[in-house]
Amino acid sequence: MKALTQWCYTALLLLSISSGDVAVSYGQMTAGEPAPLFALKNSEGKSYELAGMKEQPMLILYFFDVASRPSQEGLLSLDKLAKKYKDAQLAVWGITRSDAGQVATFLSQTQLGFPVLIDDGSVSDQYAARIILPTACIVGPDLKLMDYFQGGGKTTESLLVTLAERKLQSRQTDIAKALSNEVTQKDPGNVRAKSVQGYAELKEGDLKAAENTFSKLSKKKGDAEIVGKEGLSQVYAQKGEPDKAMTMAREVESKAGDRAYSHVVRGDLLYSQNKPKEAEAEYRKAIEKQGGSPSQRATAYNQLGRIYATRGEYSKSLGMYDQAVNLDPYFVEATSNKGMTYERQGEWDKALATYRQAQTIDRADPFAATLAANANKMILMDKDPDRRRQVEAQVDAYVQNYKNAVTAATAQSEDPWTSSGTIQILLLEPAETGGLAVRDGFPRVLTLHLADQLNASGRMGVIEPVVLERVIKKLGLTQASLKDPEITLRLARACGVNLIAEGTLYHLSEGTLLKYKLIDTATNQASREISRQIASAATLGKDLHWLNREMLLTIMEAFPLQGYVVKVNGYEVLMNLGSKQGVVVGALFDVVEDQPAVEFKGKVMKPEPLVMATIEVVRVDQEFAYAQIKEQRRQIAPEDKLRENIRVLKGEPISNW
Amino acid sequence: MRFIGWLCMFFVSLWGTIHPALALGAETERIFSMPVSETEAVITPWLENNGFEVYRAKGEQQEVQLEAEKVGATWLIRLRAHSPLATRVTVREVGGEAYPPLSAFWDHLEGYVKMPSTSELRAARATPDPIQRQINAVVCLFTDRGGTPAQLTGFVVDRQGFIISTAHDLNPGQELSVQFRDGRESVGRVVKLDGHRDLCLIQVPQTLESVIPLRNGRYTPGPADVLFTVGCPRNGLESVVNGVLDGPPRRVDGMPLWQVRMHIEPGSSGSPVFDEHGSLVAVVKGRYRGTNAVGFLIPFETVLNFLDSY
Repeated sequence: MKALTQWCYTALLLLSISSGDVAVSYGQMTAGEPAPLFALKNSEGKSYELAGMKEQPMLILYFFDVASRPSQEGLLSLDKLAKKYKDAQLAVWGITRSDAGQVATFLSQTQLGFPVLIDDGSVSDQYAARIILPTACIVGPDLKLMDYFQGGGKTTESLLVTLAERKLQSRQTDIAKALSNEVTQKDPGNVRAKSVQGYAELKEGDLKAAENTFSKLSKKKGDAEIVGKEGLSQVYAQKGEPDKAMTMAREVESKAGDRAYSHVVRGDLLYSQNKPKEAEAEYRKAIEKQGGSPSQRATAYNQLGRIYATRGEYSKSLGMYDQAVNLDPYFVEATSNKGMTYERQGEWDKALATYRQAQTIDRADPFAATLAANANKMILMDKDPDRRRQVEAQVDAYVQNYKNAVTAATAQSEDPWTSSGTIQILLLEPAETGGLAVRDGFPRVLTLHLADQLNASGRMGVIEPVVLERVIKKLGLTQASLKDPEITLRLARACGVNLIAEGTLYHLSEGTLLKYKLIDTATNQASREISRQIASAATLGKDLHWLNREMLLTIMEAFPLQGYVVKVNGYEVLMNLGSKQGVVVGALFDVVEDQPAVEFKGKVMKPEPLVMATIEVVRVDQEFAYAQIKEQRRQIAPEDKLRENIRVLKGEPISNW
Repeated sequence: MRFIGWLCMFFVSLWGTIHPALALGAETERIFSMPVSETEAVITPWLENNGFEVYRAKGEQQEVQLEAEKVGATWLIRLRAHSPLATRVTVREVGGEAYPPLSAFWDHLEGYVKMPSTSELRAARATPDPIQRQINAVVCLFTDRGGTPAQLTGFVVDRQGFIISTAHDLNPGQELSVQFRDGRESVGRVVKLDGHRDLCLIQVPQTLESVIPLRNGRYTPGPADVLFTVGCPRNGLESVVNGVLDGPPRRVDGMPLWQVRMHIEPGSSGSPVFDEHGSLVAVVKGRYRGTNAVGFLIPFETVLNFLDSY
């Protein structure tokens, strides 16, 4: 019966060819068109609907025949990779016109992890996947058809390389490398696959491996040489060797004048040398070139968009980001940059929608997540008059304090030793210097993220970013004037904070260097500097968390919780600190004894207090807590001073005696 | 509404205190050195990627409660601050056992805390290329040790499916599960076992691509040579560790053994040990009782003698 059907289709195909309308009936689908919606069931009757996959950044539809080994090849390769990289978000639907019995046998033989959907032919027709099998489609964000492949063998190879490139664009470097490896094992000369490997290594910050990969390519002839040298110029730029990078870029231009990427490399270098006009000219040249991969040209559009945004030419910059995203739908940076541009124009609704789009591309992107949450907060605030009034009142109070150069009133306590509440912090947006970062809004993301994390600790209270931004605007302060320590100190005192946190972001070719210092507003003394290099976007989330931890530790060292022993009952100690000050079960406190000042050759020195005992909190109430004695040198008594033990948090032993 | 689970838990725990046998699944707790907010940011995507639906509620103070649900299993997770920089994570399993199991959840968290930063990663990449190239020949072996599952490491020495590992815990003719680095699994059989040398040969019924060639083996590394061992990967992380010989070779029961200063995890028995040129120099026998930092190696020569007699 099936043979008869096949015969009929072949006859129909021949008929169509003779009548010249093959392109209409059984042609190809083109990239960019919306993927036709459908709903199909697997052999167990479970329903799968394409419309339900809107949130999925990438879905592969693989039309095949379960009875034909060559037509399964690509699907089995993908299955092997999906099993190995469980977090790779490699969603594949196999679709077949084979009957349910055959499908069941196939599934039991292969233990396939993907669903295989049974089609009566209608979906295969919609996707022009009836005659040539396998046919595979990569469906991208918003269910747009991005790539279309017909046939096995070399086409399967091409599918895997394209998929590797797409995975690389969406920063899933592990799976991109694995796909590229899958291809080069069978076809060691595949330049595209090799190039994916090199760029994945670059994205991971492994410059040595990337240099090795591109260097091998550059020694070959033809396309390989060009691709290799292009990659090398990027490696040298990231290694901080601009001369070598420029030389390579020139070589690429002389051999393949139609390629865009060497201009992007030169543009980036010029911008970092503080030559924005020359950089812009290079990016312009890049977008006029048609050679190289679409994602390389997309980078040029993004950089131009960034330049326009810095000049406040927002509509032009939006146009550039659109072009970038059209060329590379997985360009999460350009998508979030577009949202940032809307945000700068005060169009919060559009900004939020764009950030959400960026989150669809990459759920783990810390930029999109932080900016979306903030945009949402701003929209809600606009709709809530009480909250708006509260923010405005706060802003007015701080502005008034600043103008009168007064310190915000704080409750005066009779007990200066005991910690009164959370530590207030003025978190200024870090200044950006150096090259042109691919992403707009880095300082904003850092500030919002840190503010949330520090507040969540229960120990710190960061002046709300929206309040601070409005105060700065009302006072007419600029990024440049905030560099003046006197102005920031006056602002900090006006807001009644204990600490100022100010930072700098240096965009270097080898990554972004982040530096923060904390200044005590009472003494005007700066703490040690917290610095970290963010080498790749892949580790950004973890780097931000690291920054939060370092900052918490530094602040806790500078402002440890302090209180008194109220009562001692056997091994249990009652203390006058509770959850209001941020005490939690498990926290350690030292019983400390002040040492008398020592005078030596006219200088008076105040020694560190002696640690007499260490106690661990076991129960917490709002105003007080109970602790148990862990170690003691002498009996603990009421009125003994308590100070939080930070040593354990730093990995040191409980006591040093 | 979502937190009916918590409410039920309350009553069940109350009931459980009267009738302990009726209390629901055991509660497990661990402390991780990161803030509650970071712990939540690590846990939630992991749960979602593993098919759980996650509902969140804010408890008192810095407490966060998560209810992770999937067909047949619910995990009630509580995150409480142990300090601003540490989190107490408590999980109670309700219903049947989930896949992935709870142990995978703990492994993920442990792995995250231990995961090196970018700069540390760069330093770690100092693993020489000749060793990197042989990593795919290392396999994980799963067996049963008196009713409890046990894991050890092995490495492929011949394309015809021959794998070398240590002999303790194994018996001649025993079948065990072999997991390759690309995720494939196979059943292997112990075809030769030498308890005295503590080595065994396992065969799997297929041709293998990656092999650690014995012809490149080296008899005696120098005291200053850095040695590298590749163990069965845990939590998906590459586990290449390095160390140095610690004193002259010793003889135990007439067999030569090297003591080595090297971080050796449980499950590393049977791991190949290389010099920096990628030559096989030894096999990990085990670690010194009570420490992870000192281990014993079976020299390459013993491996050759073992194979000669096959």
